[in-house]
Amino acid sequence: MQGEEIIRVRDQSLAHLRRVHGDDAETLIADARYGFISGLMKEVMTKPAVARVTATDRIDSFVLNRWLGIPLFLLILYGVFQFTFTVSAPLIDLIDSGLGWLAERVVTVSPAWLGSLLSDGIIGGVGAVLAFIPVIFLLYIALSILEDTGYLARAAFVMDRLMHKIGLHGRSFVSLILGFGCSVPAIMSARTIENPSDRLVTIMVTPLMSCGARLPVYALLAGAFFTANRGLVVFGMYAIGVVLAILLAWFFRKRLVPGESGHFVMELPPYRLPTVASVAAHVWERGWAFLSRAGTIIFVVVLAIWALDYFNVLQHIGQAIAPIFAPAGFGQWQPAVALVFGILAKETVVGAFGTLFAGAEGTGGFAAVLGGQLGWTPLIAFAFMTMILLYTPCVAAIGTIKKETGSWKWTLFTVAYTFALGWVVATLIYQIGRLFI
Amino acid sequence: MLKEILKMFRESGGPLDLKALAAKLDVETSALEGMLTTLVRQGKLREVEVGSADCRACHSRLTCAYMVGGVSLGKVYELPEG
Repeated sequence: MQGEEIIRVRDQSLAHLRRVHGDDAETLIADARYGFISGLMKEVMTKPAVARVTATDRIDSFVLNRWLGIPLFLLILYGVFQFTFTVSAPLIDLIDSGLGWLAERVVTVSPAWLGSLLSDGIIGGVGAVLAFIPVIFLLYIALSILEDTGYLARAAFVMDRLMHKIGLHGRSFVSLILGFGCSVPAIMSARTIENPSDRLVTIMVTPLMSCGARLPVYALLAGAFFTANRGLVVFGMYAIGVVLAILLAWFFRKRLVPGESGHFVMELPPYRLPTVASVAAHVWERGWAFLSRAGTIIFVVVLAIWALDYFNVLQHIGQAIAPIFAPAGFGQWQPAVALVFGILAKETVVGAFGTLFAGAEGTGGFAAVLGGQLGWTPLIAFAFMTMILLYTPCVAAIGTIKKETGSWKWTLFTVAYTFALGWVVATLIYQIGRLFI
Repeated sequence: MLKEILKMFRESGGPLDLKALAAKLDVETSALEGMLTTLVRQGKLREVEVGSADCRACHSRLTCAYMVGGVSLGKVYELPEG
């Protein structure tokens, strides 16, 4: 009987506390305890007149600054591409020369089809992708340094603030920044966004970010058509991806999946000096993944392209699709075929060019063959790069979108809207550019 | 104090970093971490590690992985849905 009385009094007290203070007892006790500790500390502690400013505080006063944060992020991104392309250019030329020498040796192998397979298919196709290994490794060195120093977390935080201002979930940008590496883990990272509308919008716009697989395509075309400004042009591709992802996210949030977005507090890690061992481990891990793809999916796709081309099937397929891309300036069968195979893995666009234009050595060789044979100008190359940036995600990303959204409707919508967006933007660039150039 | 933190979350008008929130509340960062942990334990806040997943265990790694080791971008606290 006494026990029941205690429980009754307890329940009455809890109800009273909730009625008067609007909260449960546990919160009120913790609140009072922290209030007491805070008051006590203020009474007994004497803070120095000048607060201790750490190196992290000093750097953050610039990096997280409301006005300087975003320009600084763009400047650092630009610096990353200048570093990547300046250092990698002679290495790419060296690899290209080596592959050219090798292709000349194997082209005479008999029977003729085997010689063609080895020189045009394997060396021309897979080799064209592998020639860009220096770009990939150098970009990963730069990204690993930014990650290990703690800057990448701050870049995401700074962009989050911008996202929030236009009514989006701030944490969406974390997924977008991860998309610089690969869309698949970036799409998966949206799982931690609790609000279903925010999660869906983040998943739908993440493929617009320039992943590592698109980089060899940019490197090839920027090297061929914008030799003096290739770093700037590739930076432009990344910037177009970021801007369009933010604009599209805003549009989808307003029109397709409206709702409120929440706020958050981020615990930023202190700045650290990256160690050589840590950066090397990251770069090797990611670089090895690129090499693995070159030896598996890219190898198989390039072989398929070579076989279809060798038996004169590819040209017919390409010619049927090519007129779709004529308004964007690249209405020839070779880029049409490259775009179709690019959906399997974006690097295969380079592999396709390498096979279809076998003998074109280095970026200079591609500039000559694309300019001479297809009549491409820098404007068309830029429009094509924009198409590569924006059009349909690769099959691995499409599969991940289906898995994460659990919906064929949103998956097919993403496939369709990205293709339409790529086509519209590339066409606008070409048609408007033609008026001035 | 805890109510004040929750109020700041609702009215912040955008993301905050932990140090900025501690300065606004005029408390030490370490003390604020303790308060946030309490709120997380009570289910009034969510604690989320942000970054990409570690792809090394994924069966389709060869066809997708670029960030194979995963990337950690820190920790966030946010109000739960609803």
